[in-house]
Amino acid sequence: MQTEKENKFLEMIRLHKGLLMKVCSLYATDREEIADLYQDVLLNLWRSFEGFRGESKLSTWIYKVALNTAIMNLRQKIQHPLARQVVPELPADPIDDSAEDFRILHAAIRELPEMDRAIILLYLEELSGTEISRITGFSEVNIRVRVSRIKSKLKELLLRQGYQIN
Amino acid sequence: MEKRDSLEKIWKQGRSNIEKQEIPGEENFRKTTGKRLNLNKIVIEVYLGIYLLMLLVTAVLEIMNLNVYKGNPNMIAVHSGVLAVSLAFIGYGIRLWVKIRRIQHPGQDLASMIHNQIRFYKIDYEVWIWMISLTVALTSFAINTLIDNDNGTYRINNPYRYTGIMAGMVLFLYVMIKMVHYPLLKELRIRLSDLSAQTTEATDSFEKSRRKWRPWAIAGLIVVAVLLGYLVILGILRFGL
Repeated sequence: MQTEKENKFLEMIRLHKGLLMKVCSLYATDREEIADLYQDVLLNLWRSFEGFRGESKLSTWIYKVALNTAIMNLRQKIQHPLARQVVPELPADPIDDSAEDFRILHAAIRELPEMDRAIILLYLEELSGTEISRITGFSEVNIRVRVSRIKSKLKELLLRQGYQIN
Repeated sequence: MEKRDSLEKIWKQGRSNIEKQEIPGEENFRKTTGKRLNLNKIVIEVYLGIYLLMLLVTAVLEIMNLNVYKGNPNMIAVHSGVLAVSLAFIGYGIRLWVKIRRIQHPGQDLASMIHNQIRFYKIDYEVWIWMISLTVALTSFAINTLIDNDNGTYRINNPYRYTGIMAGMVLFLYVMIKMVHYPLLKELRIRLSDLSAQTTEATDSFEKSRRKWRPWAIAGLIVVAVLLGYLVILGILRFGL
């Protein structure tokens, strides 16, 4: 039987599940890893749930915990050459070009270093410079510089695969 | 070559694909055993537990020694010192316990988390390994002096050999602890170093570009200042302002 606190927590998770899945899919190599990482993120969120006093937006706090959990995951260090090629299978409509474009972009983002992945994810999710700064600990100026570099890097990665981005 | 929409547009149009993915078992999150067990944290906490226990035992033994050697001012001074050191080491151990929880708290920003962990393993952890090694020497000394108490006196027959053996034991323990923890710690240090490089990369490249343009900016300011100065002086001379 679940307590009121657990129900509140689970409700929060359901509302932000998309956010959590986006983080996990960028930092795990296959479905099993995504599931493991997702559970670890939930556990860390639960452990720090009581300590959240609303100093920032709920989504900002969730991003912080999720990204910390994903980035500090040591198992990621063990990178076999094949593991990097195994990307999570995203449900996609075969007729839908945008889904294919997204899949390719997602795979390119996964090629980036961990911190860059975090920054570009937050940028693409349209978080403000202040929010990204709160989550990453970088100054807003650094973030602007870094986003610009990461976008160039991504365009370069995609160009190598034969995709030119505007 | 086919041209695509901007990154932002592609992401916005396609992200629902990820959001749709099903991961079961949210309700069971509390039963998660944590497949990615943080072995470093567990090893450190076990060491900490043993360390604090030994220090408590040492402190108790030293209090007993203070009673047993109450008529011997030299021994009182020595045991008071050892007791004070034991209590200070206990304080450090408790501080460490609190710090480990703080540095691994996932509610911090990413850069702080990485830097706090690096600082911890570089300074706090190293100091603590020495303390663990010294603790064994302190405990050994406390036991020896209590057992070998001879009517309120204690005699070390060969102080140089005694000191040498104690120092050797401390060093040996330090090396053994480092060797046992080395494989786990090495992996963590590499990881943290890699992440740290990623966090400082942005600041470094930003600083480098600033430094590169600084001499030009200064030169430009000087030129403008000279020019303005010339115009002001010219104005004064010409129009008597």
